[in-house]
Amino acid sequence: MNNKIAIQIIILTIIVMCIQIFIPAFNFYNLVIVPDILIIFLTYIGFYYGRFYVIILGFFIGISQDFITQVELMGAMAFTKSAIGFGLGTLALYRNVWSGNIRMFFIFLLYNLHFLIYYFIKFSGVPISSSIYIQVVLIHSLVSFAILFVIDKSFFNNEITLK
Amino acid sequence: MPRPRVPFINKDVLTLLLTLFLSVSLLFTRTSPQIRQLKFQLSQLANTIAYPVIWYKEVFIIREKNKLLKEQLIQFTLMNSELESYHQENVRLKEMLNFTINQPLHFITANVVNHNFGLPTNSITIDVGAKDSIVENLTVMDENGLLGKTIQVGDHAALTQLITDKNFRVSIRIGQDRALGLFIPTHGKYGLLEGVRKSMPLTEGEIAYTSGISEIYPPNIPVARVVSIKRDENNPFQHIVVELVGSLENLDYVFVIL
Repeated sequence: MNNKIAIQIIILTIIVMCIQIFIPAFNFYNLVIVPDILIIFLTYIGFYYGRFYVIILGFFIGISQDFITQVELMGAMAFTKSAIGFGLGTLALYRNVWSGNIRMFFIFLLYNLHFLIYYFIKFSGVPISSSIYIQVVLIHSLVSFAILFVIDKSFFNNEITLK
Repeated sequence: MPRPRVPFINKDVLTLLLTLFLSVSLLFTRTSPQIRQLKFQLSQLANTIAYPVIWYKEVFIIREKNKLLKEQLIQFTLMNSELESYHQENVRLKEMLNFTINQPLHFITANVVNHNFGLPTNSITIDVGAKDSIVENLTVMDENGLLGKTIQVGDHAALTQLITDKNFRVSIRIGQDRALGLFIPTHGKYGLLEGVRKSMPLTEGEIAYTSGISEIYPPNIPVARVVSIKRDENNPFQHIVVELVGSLENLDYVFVIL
């Protein structure tokens, strides 16, 4: 990755983070769920540039997210996004090996893992049933995955999902 | 291109480990309830994982303790046999000296039916008398110590002079040397020990017991506890203030030693 691309990615990161601020939230069992488009951005970075860059970017995006939205859980998003970055970077390694379906399945699993870890930290010590916990994780993953699907179809010509 | 020495440790893995470490460090610096609970859960998990190691170590510790206890047991067994031989020797020596064994005390329990704390005699009346083998000059005590003696006996009741009465005197022994002295009541539960020589080492809290010299009181009944000691250069005896060990408040029942 040369400097020009690095600067482009940094600018793009700032733009995506600004968009993330204005993403509408919805309510589920009195829990405010905001679709995470930063994870979609990380998916593309992982797909095109590999593990190293996506882990670093995931960490900084996560830290920024923590700093802006949840100072009391500072490090939670950084932890999950770094961990997921490692998995998303695998997409670059198997770009020409995995079919679109396997890739989609893998991404969906990673999104689930991301929200599973994140909500595990967030709900620690909170009296909430396992069923609601799993539902929240699934819904959040599905929403993010659906947005990925739409973006991929609209702007990237099914680069990740079908090819 | 040179291959890394450990195939799984590469730039990506190191970056991941570094970022995870930083994230966890940041996370654990927080003090929110969620993080506290998370720490608790993680410590429980670590405890569960480490349980076999702890168990293994405990087995060794128990073995060491067991070994130590066995050694102590042998030591105590030897000591016990030594004490046993001393006991036998003591019995033989007593036989040689024609030593008489102290008889155990026999007593009867009596209820206090009347209090008389006024003049002329500080006394109580108890509900046992001549019909119960009570005679004059029997020792009266409670579970803590001496209370007085019987002075008048009826068929079914007896008048007891209390230890707090101004005319009450009892010979006592105190200290390591079992020095002789005389207990004299002063006021309330306090009194004085007279006749204890100045060279006799005494400390506060020591108990004075009946001496056994008197025909009325058997030996070794607790009488009073030392409260303060004063030594005057012009006086050959110590000035010892004591308080009674027997409880005179709310007297309900007493023991009369036959």
